[in-house]
Amino acid sequence: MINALEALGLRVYAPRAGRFLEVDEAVAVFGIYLKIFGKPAKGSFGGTDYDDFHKWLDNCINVANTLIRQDLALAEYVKERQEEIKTVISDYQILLQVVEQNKWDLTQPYDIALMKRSLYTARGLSDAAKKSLEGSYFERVIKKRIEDGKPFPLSYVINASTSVDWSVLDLFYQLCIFEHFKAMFDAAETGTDEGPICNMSLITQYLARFTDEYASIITARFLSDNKFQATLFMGFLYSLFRLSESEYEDANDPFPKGRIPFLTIHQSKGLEFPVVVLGNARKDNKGPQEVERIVNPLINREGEPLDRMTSFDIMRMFYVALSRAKNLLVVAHFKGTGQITSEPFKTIFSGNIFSANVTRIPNFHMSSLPSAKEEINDLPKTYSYTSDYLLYQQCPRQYMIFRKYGFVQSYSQTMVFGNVVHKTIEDLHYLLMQRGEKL
Amino acid sequence: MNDQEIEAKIRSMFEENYELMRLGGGRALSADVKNAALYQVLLYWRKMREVAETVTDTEVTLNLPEQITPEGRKYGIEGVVDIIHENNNRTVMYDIKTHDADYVRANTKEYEKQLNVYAYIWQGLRGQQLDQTAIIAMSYPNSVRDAIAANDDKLIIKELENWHPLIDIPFSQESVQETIRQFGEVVDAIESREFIPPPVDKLTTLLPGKKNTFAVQICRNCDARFSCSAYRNYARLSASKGDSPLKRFLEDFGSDLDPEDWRVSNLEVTLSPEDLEI
Repeated sequence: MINALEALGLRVYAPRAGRFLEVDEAVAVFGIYLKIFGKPAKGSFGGTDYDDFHKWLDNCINVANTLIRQDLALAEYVKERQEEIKTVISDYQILLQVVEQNKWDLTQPYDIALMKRSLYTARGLSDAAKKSLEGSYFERVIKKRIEDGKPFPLSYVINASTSVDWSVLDLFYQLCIFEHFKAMFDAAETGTDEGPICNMSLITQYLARFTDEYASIITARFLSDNKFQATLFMGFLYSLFRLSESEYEDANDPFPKGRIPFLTIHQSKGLEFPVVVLGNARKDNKGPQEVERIVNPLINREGEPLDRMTSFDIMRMFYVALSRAKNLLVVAHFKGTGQITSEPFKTIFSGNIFSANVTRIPNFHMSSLPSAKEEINDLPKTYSYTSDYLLYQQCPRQYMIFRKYGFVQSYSQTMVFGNVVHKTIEDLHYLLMQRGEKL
Repeated sequence: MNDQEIEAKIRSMFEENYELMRLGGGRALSADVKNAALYQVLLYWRKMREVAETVTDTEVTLNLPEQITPEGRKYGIEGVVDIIHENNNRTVMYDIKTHDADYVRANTKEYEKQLNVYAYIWQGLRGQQLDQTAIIAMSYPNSVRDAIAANDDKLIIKELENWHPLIDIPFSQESVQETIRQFGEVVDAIESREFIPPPVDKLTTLLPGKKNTFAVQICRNCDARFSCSAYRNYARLSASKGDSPLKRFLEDFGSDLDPEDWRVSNLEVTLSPEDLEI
């Protein structure tokens, strides 16, 4: 059915239909990450999850290869990042050799006068590492630390000069330059489709979690021996894969605009739609669950009798299914060998009620269907003067991405700055008010 | 608690808040920026202590429910007032901004709208008149910064006297209904999902009270600029010949921090002592 709708150009949204990591957006983004950081080798140990995960990795790479073939700039970008990683790793090894030759200890304090020259002039060191070693800001911080009696160890200086300039989250935002990803933002801006942007937002949330837990800075030391690759793919993403976390869900706004939602009957509880299709009118009564069988005799209460419990459950479920539609409910009526229709549909389809209330599709006139109205949510929402009104006025697009869809920002000093100042002033006021009360 | 103890307490509260925010997913500030933030609070205490010591209410959340947008949506307005100060039957509402005084003066109209809406809600809720609305602009001038850097106490006192962070905002309830109507229009736009970025012209205009354009001040601090049509047009227009647009984009890391500062300040806090070993 999903395929049939998509063939007509109608997009669908099927939460829990698969793992989040299997949605197109995640496959494309992590495919590019795999191209940049390299794909972890598959171990000989088996297990279905492990095999599935490696199939997922392969699929990501295939998709990334296609994207790269279609976009020369993206190909260039990926190549540059690969080169950059190679360079920092090579710089790191060169600097470690200098340390070894001079018989320095990595934990000893960094001594500018003694060490800087030897490190800086090491043969084969890249310009980027040189620039970092002689950076004026860096030197100022180093001197300040010495003054404060907390000098940096040599290892710190080496790590700092052999790190890449970006975090995995920065990488994500940079990737959005390329047409394939930019199109997802464009679709959300114009309100045509918000499915992809919801999933992109969830990717930033996962990447931010990774950044917080493992590394906001990617050092050459971390990149060496495929440690970073193993942490990101085999540690972090493999765990996500096994958890089978599902697609983006927003409790206030459960369905992305522009998509036909596919829901289980349980998921649809409490919701209403102009048109509902019940894909299957069959629910077999397999008797009560084992746990009910065990627990039922033990609890002394008047409830539903054990032998009728399942049929009651099925009735409740169909009640939910049948009461979601506002204008039109379409029920699939399968016929043929092996097809079973459960009650109450069996009666409805064959009995007198059928002719009175239900029409077969060939006899149905679309003109009799009331047109669907977009409902304005009756529950009033509260909007903040500063973080809604002023932010939207500043830039509607920025508002959409960070406030509405909850993308995690990669780095914002401005925000941390404002928050820490406001919070401390608030604390100061409370302190002074308390003091005032004591006087 | 004497003045010195209070300053010590400010420092420790600041450190604690900073650590909490960093752990909560906020990123590290570079040493200089962090110090500037700490000094905003310390100097607020030194310069504005009369206000600070007579605060009667802080972080007051105001709600104006039951509003209706031009398109008929119900909504509510929420705002947070930093300081309410009651003294000798006079009630003043202060809002704290981390901007500098010149910037606030150049944007008085905008602040006037905000504070008067807050005042309107506050008066309605409390059934009490307000007498004054004002802004405290916390970003101190370079003369004060230099005096601190020189560690010259006399000079600091002198420069603090020349600093005027308190800016009166005209208190008038006349345009409140108009502001609320504009607010409603924005709510309608948000609910109808109108999210097109501003036109390139806006990106190239200087922000009132700032030496920077919108593109430099706002866009360059926005992670999503790389995928933004307006910013791409701006970058294309301002690119020098021969630069590949891709290169230009990626090299404009110069948000509020250059890559070196970014790396140094984050590395410092990211790596635990064990990490420093190789």
